[in-house]
Amino acid sequence: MSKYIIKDAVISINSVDLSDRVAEVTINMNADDVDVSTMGTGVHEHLGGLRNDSFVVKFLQDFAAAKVDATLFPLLATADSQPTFPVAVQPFVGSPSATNPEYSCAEGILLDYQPMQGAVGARSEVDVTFFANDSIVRDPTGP
Amino acid sequence: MFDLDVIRPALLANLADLCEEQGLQQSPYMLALPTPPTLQIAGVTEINYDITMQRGGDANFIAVQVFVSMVADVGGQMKLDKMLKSSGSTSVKEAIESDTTLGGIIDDLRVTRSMGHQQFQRPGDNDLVIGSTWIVQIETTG
Repeated sequence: MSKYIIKDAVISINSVDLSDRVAEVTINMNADDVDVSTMGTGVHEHLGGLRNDSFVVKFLQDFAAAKVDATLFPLLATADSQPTFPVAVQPFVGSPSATNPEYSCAEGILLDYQPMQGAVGARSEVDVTFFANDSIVRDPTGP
Repeated sequence: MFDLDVIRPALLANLADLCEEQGLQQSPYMLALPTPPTLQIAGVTEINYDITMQRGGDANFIAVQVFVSMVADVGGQMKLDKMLKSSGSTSVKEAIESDTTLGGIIDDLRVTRSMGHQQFQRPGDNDLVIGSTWIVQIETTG
């Protein structure tokens, strides 16, 4: 594997492949920074707290069946419904492997969704964050 | 898919009524010696590949040109004034956008701008003609 240009990533939301409507994708894997500094050390001591993983995706909006809006809207958390769903991202098409690892979570949740955003004349893009209610895992070998 | 072989005639189909009303000849390709009044699909000015993953989209830009008359002809300039309108039956923008999927062969299109009144020097006889160029943004998949 060498340096590469990102253009063939696979993005699956609730098992629907929306890759061809994705302009940007970011995988955030981080834990809260808990300060456990004490007297006498002269430095900050850090411990990892609760994880707060997420996938951030910029979609080109598409209202067709099985495309962006039709997939995302039913997943939006409401007062009556808190659906969770799998989210998976790979750098390339193909089975997960050491050079094509899959980053996924089984319990993504969608708390915020703007079906339309943008200025007149602009391409219709929507930025969406999928929080992972479980940690994002890296699978280099596939299921 | 961005297939110019089918996009050129489809754009001209959108412009057919306007061309008939304004007495414009049509050409799907750039002419060596355009004789006004003429409308031609001048070609691609820019292609931005891979706006989404897995060849999901490209943004393509096409120039449509109109030559209305020799520069000294005031009548031609008046005709061009009407064609530069943003809407109405004489508007090139409105005509091009009359079917924004070109019968389903593209995802979407929009006339983003016109260069306004332009003088062109014809190759060959070096005569000056007046006209304009419209840039059409065409969104395609794969």
